[in-house]
Amino acid sequence: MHTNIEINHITKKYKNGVTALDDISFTVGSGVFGLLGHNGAGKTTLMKTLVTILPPSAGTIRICGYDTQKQGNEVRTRIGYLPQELAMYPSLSVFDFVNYMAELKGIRNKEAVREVLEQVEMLEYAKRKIRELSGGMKRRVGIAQAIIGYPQILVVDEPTAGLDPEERVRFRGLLSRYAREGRTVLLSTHIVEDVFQLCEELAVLRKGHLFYAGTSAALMKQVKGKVKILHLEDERQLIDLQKKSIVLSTTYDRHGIHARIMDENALFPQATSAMATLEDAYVYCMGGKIHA
Amino acid sequence: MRKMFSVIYYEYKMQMKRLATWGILLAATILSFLDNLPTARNLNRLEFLNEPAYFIYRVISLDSLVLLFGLMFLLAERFPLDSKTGMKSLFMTLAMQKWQYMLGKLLGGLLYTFSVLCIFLALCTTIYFAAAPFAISLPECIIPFVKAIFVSVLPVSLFVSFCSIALPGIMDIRLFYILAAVFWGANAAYVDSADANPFYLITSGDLVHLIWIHPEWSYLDKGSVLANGIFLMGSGLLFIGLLFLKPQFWRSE
Repeated sequence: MHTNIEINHITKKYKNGVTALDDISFTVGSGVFGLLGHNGAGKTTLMKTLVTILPPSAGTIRICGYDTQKQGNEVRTRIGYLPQELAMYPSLSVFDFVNYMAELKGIRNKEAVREVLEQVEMLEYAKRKIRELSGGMKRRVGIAQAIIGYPQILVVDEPTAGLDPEERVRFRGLLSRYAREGRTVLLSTHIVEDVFQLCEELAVLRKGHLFYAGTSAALMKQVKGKVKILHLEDERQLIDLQKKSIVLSTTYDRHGIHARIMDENALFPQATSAMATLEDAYVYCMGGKIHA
Repeated sequence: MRKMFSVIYYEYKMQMKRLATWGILLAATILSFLDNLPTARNLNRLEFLNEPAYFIYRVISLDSLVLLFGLMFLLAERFPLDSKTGMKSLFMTLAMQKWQYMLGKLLGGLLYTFSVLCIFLALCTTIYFAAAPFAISLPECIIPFVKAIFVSVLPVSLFVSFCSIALPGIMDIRLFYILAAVFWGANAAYVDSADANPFYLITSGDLVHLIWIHPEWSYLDKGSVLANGIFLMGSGLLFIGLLFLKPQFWRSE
């Protein structure tokens, strides 16, 4: 598999002493690659060093063979970026905004703009002002400006946060289609379901450290056969349970508490086995047991 | 260069499409008419109102200050807004240089200010010409109008646009608003006299006396005219220079 992104020992320290990234290394090939982590894990900082907004304090990143620090312009012509927060220009129409971004990428072809708007299902709203769009539509316009010119690498930071289920499904379809034909989509998110649906490979960041990098299947294998559901009567039992085992999630109903746990040593024979999910693996990861 | 022109074009388009632009233009025009329209009352109050050159001089030196104050607010947010909305981060990921982005914003703002000021002056002059109860010829209006464009509208547009766009990129925008309000207030409070005007006046410095000068104060201090011109053009360029030199404004190249 061709490597499109190489991240080598990347560290990022801010002037206030905060280490946002600490010696991160992994590679990304074609397809959709997930970057998971809690808020503050360093995902956005890593995205920003990848797309050349922030210089790393140490280490190198190569995009399609080009060094982000020494060959910045070569990198920038090969990436499309959708930031986490992008308000765009409210007074411009959808067409004008995407055309503006296209021109700044050196694309002076209105047909290309129409084509990309059609792909994101926004062509019929081309004349509408950005301020008149819903959140999901704005996000689609954001993706349109990122994919115009069909860059080899697409970096999307939390693209589905705050979207309704229908928009999220639409977005996943968009990203999945884009990643065909050898392109790479780097998807940064804290929504595990998105990664599960789209990504064969992923990396997990925790407090600036790389906790895991590899396939979703291998990550899930770590928890396969060990996830169980235990019924509890009250909160006191839950507190006791948390001292003995990793609790992955809890749900409450009128019968009590259902705790989803990692029972690695079969301490709870009364618990019911459950099918392990990527979310279980991720939460377990955040508990600190899986190493990269 | 083409990318810079794209920034200029879209900056200009966005600003010209704002309702606030036309609201400020309308308000300034109405105020100007109340002050300067050649009605009997105004003709009685203003000795030289029957001279087109005086009318244009007065519109530029007094009434345009209101317009420019309003435009200053619309221009000041261009860089801070890009930072707040994430657009600046997006621009930095493109194969675009810092100077293309900055100059595009500044020149787009200059074109916008110049256009609005020209429209304002043209509107006022046209209505003066149409409404005047005395005979005036078209050249009598056009000549001072063209003079005003070169000696006042152009340097003033440069000063107002470059300062309003560049300074909030260097300092907190709230501090900029306070400084601008104080400066504009000082300009508005200044009363014309026979002496050389201070160089720091925006629209009522001695440059504007090249359009019309009081017949009893016909001596024009060339040094003062030059100083006013240098202040207007030079300040704008100085603040651009400071902005270019500001570290951490753009990604490290």
